[in-house]
Amino acid sequence: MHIPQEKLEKMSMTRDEYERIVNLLGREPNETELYIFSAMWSEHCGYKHSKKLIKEHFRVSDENAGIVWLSDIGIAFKVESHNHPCAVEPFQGAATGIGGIIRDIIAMGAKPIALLDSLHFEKPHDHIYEGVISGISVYGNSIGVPTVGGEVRFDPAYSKNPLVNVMAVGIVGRENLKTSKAQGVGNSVVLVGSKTGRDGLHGASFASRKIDKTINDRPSVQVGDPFAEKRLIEATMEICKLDCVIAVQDMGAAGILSSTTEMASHGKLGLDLFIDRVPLREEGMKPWEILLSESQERMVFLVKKGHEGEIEKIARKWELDSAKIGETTSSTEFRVFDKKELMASLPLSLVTNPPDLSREIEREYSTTAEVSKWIGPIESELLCLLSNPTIASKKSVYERYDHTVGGRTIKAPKSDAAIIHIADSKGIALSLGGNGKYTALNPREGIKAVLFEACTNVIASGGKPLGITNCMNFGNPEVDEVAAQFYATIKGLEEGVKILGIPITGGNVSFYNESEGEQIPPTPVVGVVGVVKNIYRIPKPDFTRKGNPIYMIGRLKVPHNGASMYSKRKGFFPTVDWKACSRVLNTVMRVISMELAVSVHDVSDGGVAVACAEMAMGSMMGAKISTDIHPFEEYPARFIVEVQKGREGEFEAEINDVEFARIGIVGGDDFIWNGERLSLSSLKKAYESLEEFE
Amino acid sequence: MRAAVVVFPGTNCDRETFEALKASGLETDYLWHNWTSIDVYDLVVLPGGFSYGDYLRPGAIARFSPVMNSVEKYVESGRGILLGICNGFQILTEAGLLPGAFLRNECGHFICKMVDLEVKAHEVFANVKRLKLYIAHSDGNYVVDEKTVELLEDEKRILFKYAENPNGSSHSIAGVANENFCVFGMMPHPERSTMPYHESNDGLKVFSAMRRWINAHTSRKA
Repeated sequence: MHIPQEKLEKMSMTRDEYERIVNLLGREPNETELYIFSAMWSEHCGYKHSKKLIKEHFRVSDENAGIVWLSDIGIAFKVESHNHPCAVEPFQGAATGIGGIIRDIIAMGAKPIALLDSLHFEKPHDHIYEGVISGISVYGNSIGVPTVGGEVRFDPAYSKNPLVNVMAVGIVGRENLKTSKAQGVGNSVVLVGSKTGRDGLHGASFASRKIDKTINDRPSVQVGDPFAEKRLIEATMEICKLDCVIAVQDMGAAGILSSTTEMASHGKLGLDLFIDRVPLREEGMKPWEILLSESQERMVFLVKKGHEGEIEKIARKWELDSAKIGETTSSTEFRVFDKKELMASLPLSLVTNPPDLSREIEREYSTTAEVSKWIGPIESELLCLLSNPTIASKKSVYERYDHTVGGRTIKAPKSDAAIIHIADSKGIALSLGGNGKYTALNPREGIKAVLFEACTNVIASGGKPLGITNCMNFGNPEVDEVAAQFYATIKGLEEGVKILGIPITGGNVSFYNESEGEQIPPTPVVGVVGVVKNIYRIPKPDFTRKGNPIYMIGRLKVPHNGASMYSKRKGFFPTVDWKACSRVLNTVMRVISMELAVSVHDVSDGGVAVACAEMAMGSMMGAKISTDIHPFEEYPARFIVEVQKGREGEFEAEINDVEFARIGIVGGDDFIWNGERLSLSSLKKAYESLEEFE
Repeated sequence: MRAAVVVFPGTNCDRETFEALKASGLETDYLWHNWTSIDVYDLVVLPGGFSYGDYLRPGAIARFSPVMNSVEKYVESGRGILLGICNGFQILTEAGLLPGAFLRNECGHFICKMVDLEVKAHEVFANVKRLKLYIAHSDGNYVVDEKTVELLEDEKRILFKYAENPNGSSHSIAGVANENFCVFGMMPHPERSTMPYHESNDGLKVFSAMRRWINAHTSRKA
């Protein structure tokens, strides 16, 4: 085999992989075929380091997004990363990240109704932060899907590799749910959307390697057009109502190539593509360029033969291009034709089944049971935590996102979880978050804490978790330490969802978040969708009435957590009783459904003192807390609950299956912690520190 | 009473505007922007969004849509009321049906938040003094020359002013009417405050004021 090393490097392919292709094919691939493998066998498209592990540990569908049901209304949801493009071109990276995940939702036949994003940056107000936030704002606002929640976290560990994970949520009636699985021989593959250009070439292989400052990666970043996306959303909704539509697939990484081959391979059919029929925006594009282009705002539909005109009519109304670019065949081959000339002919199963490179590396990560104590005043630490950009108010961020377009928003950004109206008195609660500090310290236990945290958010806002999705952000999987972190995370997540009894409906993996040899901390992010049975009976997020008692539900004396926000000393992850944590979640759900909880907030970053202070600041209503609970230590599954005065007995009788303590009373002008008096205005000043940059 | 919600490519507040009009007791239809028979409607609403992606300037392309020719005739005939919300207001200024123009918000970026409005056109909004409504725009900085402001003040054509100016608008103006009080434009979104689960229900007050006004001042046959 005489293929030069440079050529392999250009294809981001190893010699082993090339030899494997030659062996299985019984010949050397031609240029077009080599490009096909380069994209389809990239980590980004092929999930070589993760697919097998995920299949072994979870039951996830191969549809474009996960789904949970509220009687006959399906809630489709998925998270995806756009980390690599955002590192190079933050504005377009974030914008096209939104566009991409939205198309996963519409591929299910679902109407997008909400977006959440989990962002990890080095620091506020640098060019990456500004670029990403304006990218989300410009694209998300324009397509009319409200951005209702998420998180923004800061850590120097993300200085070269920011993380931009977006979760999209849509609704679909049972009868309109679409599949990505092809059916029937001789049916037509119809492309709808923007014209195809050279943008985003090699996007898939770019996202499958570390970021190298010596390479100019800018041409690998796609450019977004929200106006085209908005028209594509509306057109897709109309097309999905047609009886002739068999399957739908969005076009993301590796464009036409991956969307059409996945569709055919899910249906175990062969596929012929006529590449010269693709509407182009540039002249002289080679077949492989057309196949691999990641031009944005395109969808592909499999339509009953002879019904292509129905699609074209809708596309014309929305001023979008459309063309029949292929058809399903009874063979097992994937063939590409350019004006009748055969450019590629490959077994489809070879194209869509890259080699498995997953590794099961076992590592032990310690925990500690040593109980944490706090002695002395809290003022300086509390103010420091409230002004920490990760905890501080994100008003300056969420006011730039349209969080009320669509008219379905009930509670958005200030709430623990966002609440969206679905029908009648029913709603959904949405949460998305990660904690790289936790998962760096102990990937296996940390992921459980991240999972429980996303669920506590949903519960504190009056929801019951129904389904879980995730996005796994990791470094270079070829590094043993990273492979071990990933394996531990998979196992921890499996253990966590088993304890909770909530299904994982889907997920996404982003590897190679590495630059100049530096790996990001393992940062799995979890998204949860919950049902809110009665949107008119949800607890408030802030203190409501003077004289009401305040309770803390959850573990009282907790071990020192080396990843707590306040912690300056190194340490281990706490030993956690996850079954007890799960009981706390159920108990809190019960007291909320019985309307015994007036206001509820979960205890997360910054511990109990920060949670109480946030509830006080939210309504500018003071509180007097007397407790020996550690003010700042972090431990999963804990809630602050305000109860109506006079109903304490009833409330305590309901929660006696878990640990709890009555810790104080609402009222007064100040926040008083064990006699130490702090003015609400001083807390607020610290909490609003991010806005001072404006 | 019949209302229409005009949909341009890029409009994105059509659904909630439709629902809000229905909740306000109006029989409502969607109208695709190439539709031209609008005389059957008592109220025509140009909703919010990003018509034509806001490319060139917000509203600059939508004003050339086929429906806009009919809209101009509709206004001349005194047949009904035309209401532009947010991007709809921008389209109306581009079309010259309302005075003024829009610049980028003073802060330079999009703002979405609940604002307090002081109602100024008391004849239109009988008994309503203040409203709490959402704004959501990048280009909400309403600019109008001093002479026109004087005229608007004299003729009581300023609908409401922001209690705290969020975007740099001249004299904090948030909504205006034309000289015949049959074309209304407002930047805040009344449709986002109409349902029992919304943060405020003040949007209903805006739509019921429109209904009253239609009854009193248009050629509608009861």
